[in-house]
Amino acid sequence: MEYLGSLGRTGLFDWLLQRLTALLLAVYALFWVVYFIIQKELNYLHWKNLFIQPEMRFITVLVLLSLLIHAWIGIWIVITDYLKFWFFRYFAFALFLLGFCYCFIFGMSILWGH
Amino acid sequence: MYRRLLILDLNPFHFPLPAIVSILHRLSGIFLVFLIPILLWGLEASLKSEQSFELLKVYLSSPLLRVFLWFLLLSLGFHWIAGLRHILMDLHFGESKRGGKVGAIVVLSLALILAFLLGGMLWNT
Repeated sequence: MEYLGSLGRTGLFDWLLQRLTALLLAVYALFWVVYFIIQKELNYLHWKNLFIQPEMRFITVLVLLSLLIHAWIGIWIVITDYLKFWFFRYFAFALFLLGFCYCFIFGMSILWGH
Repeated sequence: MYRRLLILDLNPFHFPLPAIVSILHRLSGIFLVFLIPILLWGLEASLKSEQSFELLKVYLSSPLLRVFLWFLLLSLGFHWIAGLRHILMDLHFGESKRGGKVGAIVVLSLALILAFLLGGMLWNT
């Protein structure tokens, strides 16, 4: 049964998508934990060189996309739990949809913008 | 004449630990969603130029932002740990009532340790 705001045809697909994105995000977060433990002192050059590499940019964009999908499913759950009246619910959906699109375009411009 | 109303004075509130973990997982998730544009803004500032990078570093060293950073990382860490428990339960680990309680205790303990670790790290750099 297709539900407004869901990403898949069934709730099962959203459930799986949320777990898959969660795993990718979990690994990416661990990368940063290790990075900040190893990198005692942070300077601009090192930081810039990390993000210059196309692999880092590609993975970060992928992770950003996963994050927004994961966040969308999560916020969908919260919205449908608490906002029952159609106006508030659709307004909330529209707000977050707009916000997430902005975040993705912003992220792309940061990582690939020059 | 029969009694229609029987009032038993049981403590109306009890705090099952799995429920606490669940609501904290939800709250940390909501907080993190609003944090996404802020994190992206921070990333932009850190990459744009050396000046903005150093400025960001100075801002993050201020007491207020250290507290904010502590909240941010603790939310992320808690959501991560509780999320792991969610996935383990999906794989049928710890699905019983007792398993749920044990899992909740583990999550809360790890989160408490994380809170102290982060506090130590953020006030010693």
